[in-house]
Amino acid sequence: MSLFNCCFTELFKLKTKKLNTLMLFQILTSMAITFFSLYKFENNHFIRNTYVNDFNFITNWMTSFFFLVLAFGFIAVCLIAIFAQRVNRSQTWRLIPMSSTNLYLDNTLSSFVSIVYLGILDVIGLLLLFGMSVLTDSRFKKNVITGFSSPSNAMSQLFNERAFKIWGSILLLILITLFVFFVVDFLNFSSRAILEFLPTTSGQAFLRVIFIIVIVVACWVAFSANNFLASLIAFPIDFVFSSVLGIFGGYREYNDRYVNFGISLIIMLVFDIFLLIANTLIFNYFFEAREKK
Amino acid sequence: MEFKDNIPIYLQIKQYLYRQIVTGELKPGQKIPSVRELAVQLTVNVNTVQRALQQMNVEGILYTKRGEGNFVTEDTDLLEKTKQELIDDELNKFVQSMNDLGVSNDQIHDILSAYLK
Amino acid sequence: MSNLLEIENLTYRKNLKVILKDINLNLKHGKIVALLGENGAGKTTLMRIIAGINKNFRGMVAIDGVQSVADRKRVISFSDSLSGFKESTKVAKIINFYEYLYDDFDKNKFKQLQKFMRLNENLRLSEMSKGMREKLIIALTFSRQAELYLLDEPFSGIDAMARKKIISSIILWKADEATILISDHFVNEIASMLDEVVVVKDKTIYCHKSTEEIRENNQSIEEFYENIYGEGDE
Repeated sequence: MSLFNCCFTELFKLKTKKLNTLMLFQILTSMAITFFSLYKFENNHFIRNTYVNDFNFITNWMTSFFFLVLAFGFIAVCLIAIFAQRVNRSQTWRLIPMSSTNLYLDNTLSSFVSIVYLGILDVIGLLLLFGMSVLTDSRFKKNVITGFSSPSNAMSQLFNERAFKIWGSILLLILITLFVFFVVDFLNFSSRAILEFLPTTSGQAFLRVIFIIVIVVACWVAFSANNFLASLIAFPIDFVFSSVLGIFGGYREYNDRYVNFGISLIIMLVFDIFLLIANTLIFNYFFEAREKK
Repeated sequence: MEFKDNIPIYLQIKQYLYRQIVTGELKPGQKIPSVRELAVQLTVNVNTVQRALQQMNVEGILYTKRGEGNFVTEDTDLLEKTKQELIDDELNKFVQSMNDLGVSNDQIHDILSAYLK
Repeated sequence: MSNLLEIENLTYRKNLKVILKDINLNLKHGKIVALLGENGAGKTTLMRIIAGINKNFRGMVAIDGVQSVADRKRVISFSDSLSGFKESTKVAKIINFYEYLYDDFDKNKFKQLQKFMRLNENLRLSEMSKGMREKLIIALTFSRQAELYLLDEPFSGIDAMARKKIISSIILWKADEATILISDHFVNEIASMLDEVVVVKDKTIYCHKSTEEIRENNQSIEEFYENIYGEGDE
């Protein structure tokens, strides 16, 4: 196996280990949320809150798990992005006989694929829970059957006009995830590169925080000033989430937004490419591993 | 093996090997340890050992058998000569030491005889 | 024979300060060389530049005539402090990492070195003393079949007896054509195994001499080094 692949595999293993732990937390948290929303403690034992809904524990568990997917997905991206910085800064990884570009690519790719891995775990979890709900909850089963048989509902529309939006949304999600990784890399790389260029002053960590705040504020100002850009970036995120969540609820179509959607895809792609090149350059020429001890 | 750090080490290695040969630890015709073994034994660089052995080969006290290593010469005259050189060396050092302590060359003989009784 | 390491007109800056200036150095194959200099003189920096970790320098660094960083890293084994591993990592996992990512990692050689230094494979990094950790680092560094070994203060936490043992093992297991560059403060103990000495002073290479040359002047390596730094003081 080439070194590029070996390095990727090693990084991927490390990252998925973390995500496995995170998934465990996700399962436990969703169980806990379900339990505490369905039951209250009265007269020294637990009583079911029937006014919440009439579905059973597993169905409710599936729902809370579903909603946690987003929250934990976001946490996962943050965790992986931070771990990736550790790798970037580590002498152990930078001594490996590969070019800095390849190491950066391996690091970024393994981050991305590990998030995909988490997504797959989520899907498996949801399918399992869905299956168990259908089997154990007769009321839910009835709802599902009516949902699947009714011709004018979201499921049949899914395979028509929704096709474009689904794949487009997935693509946009990919670009946004990469964007988050790139931005974190960029903030880390550029702040460290500037700090190592300037004369040493005490409180380097403090300066870094200031630098990051300045950059973030600058971006915020740029975005607020440019409404078109801002709405384009905010919109796809909103669009994706409402569109994906809306499958089960039956949402109206956004006909006129196809064009805007395409434009936002392209803008995100441009950002991603720009950051990728910038990060690779800084990583190659300016960002050095921490000196030992 | 502790070597003095202010005298070339290859010279000290030579001295060490001369002693081994003269005192009989390494017999005539015997194979001496390999370069690497000596280097580890004496905690010195392989290059340094090689230099010492090369010189000893040139001097004739060692000879090389292709593919087998270095052997002590069987030339008894040369061995005698080497032994004598070592003895002279020691005598030199002894006399120098005594002189440094204020004992003149004339007194050395008497002092030595008295000591040896 | 051509040089293993060639450095030409190397200058390195950081934080708007010059750390190394006009460094010119050539090392041949098969030598054991000490890199000497005060703390902060730039020894670690120089090694990191050679190993390809420090970047953005002016000048040329080549190994066997090759300048590309990835190619240099392939034939250089640098004593890494293992900071990339979590403290809870077991030695066995670290060995797997090296085996997997380095083509030239010889697991048998490592086993021999491991036995020699009495390293327990099941220990975690956090459970090891400083000396044990350094022994592990040395074992890992020498288990790779490299052309240039860079050891940055490899003995600082190791007691005198162990140091002697490790030095013997280095001599025993070093390939004939490989060169070792060691920066260390314990000049005395490694002095008998050195071929050459390179002294870093005032941000540049002050001198590069063979040890036998120094000894022919009836100077010990330590005296020689102290004289260099003594001159500046008065």
